[in-house]
Amino acid sequence: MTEAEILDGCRRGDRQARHELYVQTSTRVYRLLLRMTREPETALDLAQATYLKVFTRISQFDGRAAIATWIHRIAVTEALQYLRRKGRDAGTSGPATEAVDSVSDNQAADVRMDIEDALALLEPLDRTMLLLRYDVGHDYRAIAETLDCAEGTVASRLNRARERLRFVLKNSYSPEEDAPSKHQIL
Amino acid sequence: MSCIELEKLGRYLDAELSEKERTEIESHVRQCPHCTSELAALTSIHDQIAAVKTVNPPPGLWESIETSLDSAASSTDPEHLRRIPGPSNFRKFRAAASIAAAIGLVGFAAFWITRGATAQAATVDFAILLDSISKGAVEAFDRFITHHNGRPIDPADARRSAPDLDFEIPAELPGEWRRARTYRLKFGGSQGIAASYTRGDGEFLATIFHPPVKQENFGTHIDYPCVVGKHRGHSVQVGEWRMVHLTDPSTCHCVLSRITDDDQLAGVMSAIAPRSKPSDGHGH
Repeated sequence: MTEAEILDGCRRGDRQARHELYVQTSTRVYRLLLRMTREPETALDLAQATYLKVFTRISQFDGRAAIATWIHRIAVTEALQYLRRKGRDAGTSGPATEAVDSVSDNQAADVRMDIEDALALLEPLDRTMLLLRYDVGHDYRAIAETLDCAEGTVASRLNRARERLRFVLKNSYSPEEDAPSKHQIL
Repeated sequence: MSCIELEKLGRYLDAELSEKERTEIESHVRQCPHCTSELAALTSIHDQIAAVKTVNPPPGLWESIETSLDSAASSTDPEHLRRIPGPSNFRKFRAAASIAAAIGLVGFAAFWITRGATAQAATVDFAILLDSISKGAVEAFDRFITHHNGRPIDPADARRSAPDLDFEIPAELPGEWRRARTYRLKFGGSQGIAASYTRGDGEFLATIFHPPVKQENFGTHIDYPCVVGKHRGHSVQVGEWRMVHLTDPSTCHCVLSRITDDDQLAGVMSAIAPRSKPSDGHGH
């Protein structure tokens, strides 16, 4: 089934076309949501909400961006809204702190755990930028379309996110926090 | 040439520069240890983020999406989709619940239930199950599961998913029923559990467990007191289908089936609520 046939089928409410679109896109969407939230059940909720919107709003997709980019935009919006609400509930800007329990089964996982912990200490938008670029593989134009901003903004924001991630990996705390040693002195 | 700005090195790494700019940077990096080190650090970040193993969506996600779409399509209410409980609604509910403590629970309940779009988050909506059961019990049960944000879970995780509830979902129930699927449900801020059972003749049975404090909506169906084995409970009859509830202080245990043999039904109830005492039974 070609992309055009899938889209045409989805617009007509065809089950096979919907399933094909889901099969082709859901692995990346779910992984993006899981890495943004670090909460498997929340990622599941958000993935369901994403695809319900995809299929009920497919007539609004105008084809200017790739269909995957459009779906990622819906998913990222859902996740950022969730993280903002969570941040408000917790009285913080919302870095996720829960552990992902699926990445600790071998030595290589130790490396991945480090990067996941570091990503979790970033602001949600910084984390999203890095995941869209280096996990999903979007170029700056697709990231700009996903986040509805200018390509120049993507470049500067990605630079800031990379710098903050390097800081966290080196120091094990967020650049927005005081250093742990200061807390210990107090 | 002075050292390259980090943002430009990042754009180089991300293949977002022109050929001319790339050549300039490569020429500089070859003779600049600092920029070589910076580029290596950026490459390491890229590699670490990209190195995480593939995570597949859990089984059952597609089925829950499809069921939600079917449910929306069959609804006469065009706003139905907006009422599918999701994380946002649960969090709105929790926030509103904290306000309720100040304005009084009764007032809160009236306020919340009249909001329509979110009322079902706090209500166990059996009407959605019972209204369409005559057209197909499995489909009606799926609709109920989706309506309450059901997620397939491993039966072994059921107790942990709803630690406040006291129930059992054995692999087999008296009457040769075999457990088919198990779900975690959400009723507002509370957890629930449901499990479906089938047997060789194609018959279907469902169990549902929820906190007894939750409001139940039976729609136009009437909930009568009944006695099942050693327990007093309530039941709703819709055609051949009967939904029986046994409610104790921690849990409402519900069984939906076409079982006509009271002894067999009592055996099923005892199996799913083995610690529920005869004196526990009471109205909702």
